[in-house]
Amino acid sequence: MLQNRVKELRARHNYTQSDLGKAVGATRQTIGMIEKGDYAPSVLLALRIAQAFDTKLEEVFWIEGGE
Amino acid sequence: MIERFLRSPFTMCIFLIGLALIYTTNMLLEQRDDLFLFLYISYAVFVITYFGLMIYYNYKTPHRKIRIFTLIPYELKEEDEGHQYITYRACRKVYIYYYFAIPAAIIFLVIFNGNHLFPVFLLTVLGLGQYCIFWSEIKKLHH
Repeated sequence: MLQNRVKELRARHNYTQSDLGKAVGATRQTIGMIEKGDYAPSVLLALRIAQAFDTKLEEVFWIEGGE
Repeated sequence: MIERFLRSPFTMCIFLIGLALIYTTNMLLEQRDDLFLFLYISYAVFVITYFGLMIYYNYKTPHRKIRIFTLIPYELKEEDEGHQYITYRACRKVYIYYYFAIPAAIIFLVIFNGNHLFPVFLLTVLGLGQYCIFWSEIKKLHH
């Protein structure tokens, strides 16, 4: 299962879900679904999110549970 | 708030129920009495309010306009890949629902073929089921 630290990194960068959404070209709802793990983002969106936090992709998203 | 109302599957339910009620009362009542008139006017007011609100919404939020004349149902949201994913999931569920509901509806039609209002009732129930299933999926976007 795809895990993420989007919520934590967003808090650290003082971003709201809307701020992050605007930065990566997604809606607030999509950021919310990603944070909750309801939706696995595309590679492109995941890369954009990592870029917005100025970090590597694997620092934001990783696979857990072998799925 | 206005956008949620305009795009809500439950708003579409009101359109559907209104049409079914108007048709049913039209068939049942020999004379078009006050009840029919009340239903007809209420429905007309609802339709005018709905599209009036849509024009108002488009005026207030020109960057998020809802197209009035479109073949895409208003409740479908596809602003980004997250919305597209939810819409895909919802449409998939609705397809599975109709896959079973249509044969079941045909069986019911055979059983109740004497009642001339039953097809309208059945189509209304099928439509309401579709909107409820769609809503149950897209509510994930709002929580």
